[in-house]
Amino acid sequence: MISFLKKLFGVNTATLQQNALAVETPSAPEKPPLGELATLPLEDRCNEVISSAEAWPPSPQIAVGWGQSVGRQREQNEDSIFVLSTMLMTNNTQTPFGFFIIADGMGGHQHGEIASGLAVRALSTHVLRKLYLPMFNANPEPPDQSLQEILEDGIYEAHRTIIKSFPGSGTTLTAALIMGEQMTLTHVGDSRAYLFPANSPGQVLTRDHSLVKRLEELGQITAEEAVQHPQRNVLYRALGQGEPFEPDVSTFPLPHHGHLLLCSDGLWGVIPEKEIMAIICSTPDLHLACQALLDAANAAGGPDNISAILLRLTN
Amino acid sequence: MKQALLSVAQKTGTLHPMPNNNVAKKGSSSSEGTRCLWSFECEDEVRGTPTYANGVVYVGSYDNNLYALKASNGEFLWKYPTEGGIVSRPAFADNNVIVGSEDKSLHVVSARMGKSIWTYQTDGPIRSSPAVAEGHIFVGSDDACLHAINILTGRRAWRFDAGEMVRSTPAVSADRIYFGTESGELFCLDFSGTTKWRFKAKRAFTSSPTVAQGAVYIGSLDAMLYAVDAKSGFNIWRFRLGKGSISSPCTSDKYVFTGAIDGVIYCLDARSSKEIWRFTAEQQVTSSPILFRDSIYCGSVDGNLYALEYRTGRLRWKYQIGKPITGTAAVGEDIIFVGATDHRVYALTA
Repeated sequence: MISFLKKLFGVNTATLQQNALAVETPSAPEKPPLGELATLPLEDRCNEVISSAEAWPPSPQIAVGWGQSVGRQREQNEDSIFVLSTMLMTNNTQTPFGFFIIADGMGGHQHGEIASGLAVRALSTHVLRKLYLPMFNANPEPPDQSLQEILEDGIYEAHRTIIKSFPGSGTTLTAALIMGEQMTLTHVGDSRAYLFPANSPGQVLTRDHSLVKRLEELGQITAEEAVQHPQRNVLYRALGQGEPFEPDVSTFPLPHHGHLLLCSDGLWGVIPEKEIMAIICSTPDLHLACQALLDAANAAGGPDNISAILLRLTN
Repeated sequence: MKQALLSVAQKTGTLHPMPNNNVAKKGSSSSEGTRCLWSFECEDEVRGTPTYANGVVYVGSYDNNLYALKASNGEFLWKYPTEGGIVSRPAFADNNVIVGSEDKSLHVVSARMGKSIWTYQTDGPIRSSPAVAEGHIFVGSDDACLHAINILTGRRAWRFDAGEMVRSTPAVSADRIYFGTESGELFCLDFSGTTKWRFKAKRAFTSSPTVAQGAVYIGSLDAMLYAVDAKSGFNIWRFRLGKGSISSPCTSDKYVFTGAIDGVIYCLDARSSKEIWRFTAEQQVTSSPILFRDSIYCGSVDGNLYALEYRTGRLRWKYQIGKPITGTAAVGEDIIFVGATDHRVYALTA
């Protein structure tokens, strides 16, 4: 390989000298001596400082609200959440840092609430230790892993912790890591992340690891049938539920305007997306917006625990 | 006049029109799916990348010349001699062609006549390609510096000492300049030449960065393709290649493409870094892929130019040149232009 690269960039001096002679033709333009710079008269624009109209816009401001409800038909809350939003000083610039997790302990399994709590603690501890705390060193060094690797390692650690501590239990987990201009999501199960960009329709950023979603993707049932399907709570992938275990990890450019919503299926499975969007857009206070989402889910029967983390991104 | 030009072409570089899909050159063959419109022979290898602008193809050669060829038929228009081999890709701005040479100089040449406007000297051979933005030219040199030069005067605005040779071509996005070094550092500078951030790989960044969707994509000889946050320099993901890479990535709406010395052209999901497809050439891929319409075009040291469907990696066609292709293809007027180490520049239907 090295010899190839040398060949690629190396110069055969003899060949070049021969060729230099060969290229002397009447049509060849006269070449000024090397190093002789042109002496054009100076114009104002020649001395202009290099500038750009397209300067980087400042990073978006992140505001966050959250809320939880046990619902109307469950006796205990098996969901767990984690919320951290701050600014870090990196490379002499303020960098937004946010980490948000929702985990929905699996009902019908043992210790669902413990599994979701363990998962949230294990992942948040891992990310804060690897990424956040080193930023407080006198000379902060960037992590030796990528953001996606840190998240992926963290969710595997959470998975192993649950299997070891409470075998048989399980939980979903959806987490969003905001670092600078990027938002990295990791996801297992059927909790969801929604993006509602300003003046654009909302989009689901995560893909449910559920039986009905798979059937829907295969064209065997419609989206409407999936909502009513008796096995809509059956997951084929969850933390603590054995192999094969593979989290989804993906990174998106952070929008400078709009909302990001993380929620459990106690919300999205009960309220249509349009209604969620209408509540978010009509309620400027984020905590009140979360409360309104919980109220709407409970008004629709509240069949499951409800958790929501709502972020507003503004410049 | 035409006769005179043809005469010059015969003396200094040979024009080979290739009608009817016949490549009349020993060692080459016709290929289903594409047609060679013409080829032009320089006097030494073409290891670099052509540039298309306003109906003309500009390409440098290791015979020290910068050539201007009519894109439609390969007609020789002019050539401009430097005193070193040219592997740098020419840039086109304000009716001038800008190219670096291994004679340590950056040359600015009138696109119409091929006459020198000015030259700018560095302290090392220039293998990086110039990038033009905001009235300035940014180019790296083996003198370990990135140079910012006023395009009107040819005078240096500033010079940034990167500590090691800069063969990577700078990418300018918003008000930031991104480039790699042979010591494996990826720099982000602002327009005053101040470091905003730096990112370190284990081996050289000869590859040139591509900026898309707020991320910088660049391959390294440490066998990784990196995605780095353009604003903060945080590593978003890294993908392990079979071997190192000096190929420069290109992007589509959701994919990243690159080649590597393991002979593979990779397509990755830009968000998840998951491999979507891979195409294995017969030898190293030091050329960089380009995306045009629904295809990726990429050359290989195996002597083939490959056209692949960009969503699936399915081979649409390959054109056998027979000698290594180390440069990158350019596109204009629905024609793919590519140089090869058989001394020729080829024009193929897309």
